[in-house]
Amino acid sequence: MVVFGFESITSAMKARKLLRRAGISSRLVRLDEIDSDFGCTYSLEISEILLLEAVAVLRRASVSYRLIQ
Amino acid sequence: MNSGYIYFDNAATTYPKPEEVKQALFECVERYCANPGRSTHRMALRSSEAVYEVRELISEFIGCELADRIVFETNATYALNTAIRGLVNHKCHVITSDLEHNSVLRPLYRAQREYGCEISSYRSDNSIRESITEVIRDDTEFIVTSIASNVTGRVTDIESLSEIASERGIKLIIDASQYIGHFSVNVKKTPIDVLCAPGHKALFGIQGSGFMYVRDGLNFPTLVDGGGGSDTFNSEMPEYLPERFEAGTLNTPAIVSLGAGIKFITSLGEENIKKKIESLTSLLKDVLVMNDADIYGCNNGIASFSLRGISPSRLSVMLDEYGIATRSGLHCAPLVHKRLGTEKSGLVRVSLSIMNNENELDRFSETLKKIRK
Repeated sequence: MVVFGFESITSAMKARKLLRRAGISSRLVRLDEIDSDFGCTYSLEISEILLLEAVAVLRRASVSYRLIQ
Repeated sequence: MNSGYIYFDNAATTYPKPEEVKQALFECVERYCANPGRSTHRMALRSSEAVYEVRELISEFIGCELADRIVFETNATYALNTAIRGLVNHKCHVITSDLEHNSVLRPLYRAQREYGCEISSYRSDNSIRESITEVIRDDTEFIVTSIASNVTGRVTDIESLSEIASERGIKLIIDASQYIGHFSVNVKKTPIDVLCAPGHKALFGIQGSGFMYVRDGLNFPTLVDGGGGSDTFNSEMPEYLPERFEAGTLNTPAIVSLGAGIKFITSLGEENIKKKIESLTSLLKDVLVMNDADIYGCNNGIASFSLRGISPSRLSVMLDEYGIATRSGLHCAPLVHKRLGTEKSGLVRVSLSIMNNENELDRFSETLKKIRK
């Protein structure tokens, strides 16, 4: 599993919707630790094999994210 | 309210609300109304999803491609204050109209006092191009105006207004309070910098709902600072929207009700709504003419009038005694009452929604006849 971190809940919701439209399922998760840049972070967990596809979807829509793990 | 009571005060807030709105509201409060955008337990996530769904719904409804440009506000007044106080924050020239509500005027007067802003009002009874040309200057930075009067119902030509603003590089801040829901707004076809709208009028949300659309690329200082659930170590509100302008807990039930209201009017269809409002307005005018009323404006479901020999405030009380809700007074719109010469007495306002019907107008007519005897 890989985890994408987003700056806000709106951003995470938008990303989840975009990924869903592209056929990529994700799960909104809470991180165990607070992200040093974002503070409280909303994150989406997706299957590692879909990483490149997910990155492409998010980049196309100019959604800011951080790959957390 | 008792059955048989007729509600003609929809320009203040619409009543009754559609069943779909009440159901969505009840379901939210009953089943999942946790704090959206804070925690990540399942109820909070359901709440966050509901809020985001309405954000998307509004963005589609007004032709905006980015849901994050929709900021939830508690009403149009807060949205207008956020926009006006955020943008008109230096000495500049601003154009407004002679129809404005105090939600536009008072923030502008504050800018006049604090920054020395110069304000010119255009006359709303001419064509918009002619009127604006009379007051526009090379240093005009903003046009801040409503697009339908809450007193006369008069509708402004928003397309021309948008064209003029675009041609001259002027920022356009629109108050859509009495317009949206009866007419469509499309910010893609008709560019607007900031659109402020209540949710509790013709969009049929409950009180406490409203929104502000901010065009992509535009940003300005915040009116309220506080927690937003993200960017926690930043000593200021985040730069990104909508969180920048959404400090504190959102009013999830109101937002959900607004979403249900928009779905309701979308299901009716814009043309059907327009036809019904036009037909009811025409009938309302006939009723007032038949009853010898002095009519000061009758458009877009709103009529302001008086009856000779009865003060507007007394008339409104008498109508209430007969089971009809209207609003008397100055309607928080000082300039238009001065222009109409009714600043001492005010007027009675009847304002309709698509939930009203012809039978209610017949009863209104009979009641006016009784009162005039």
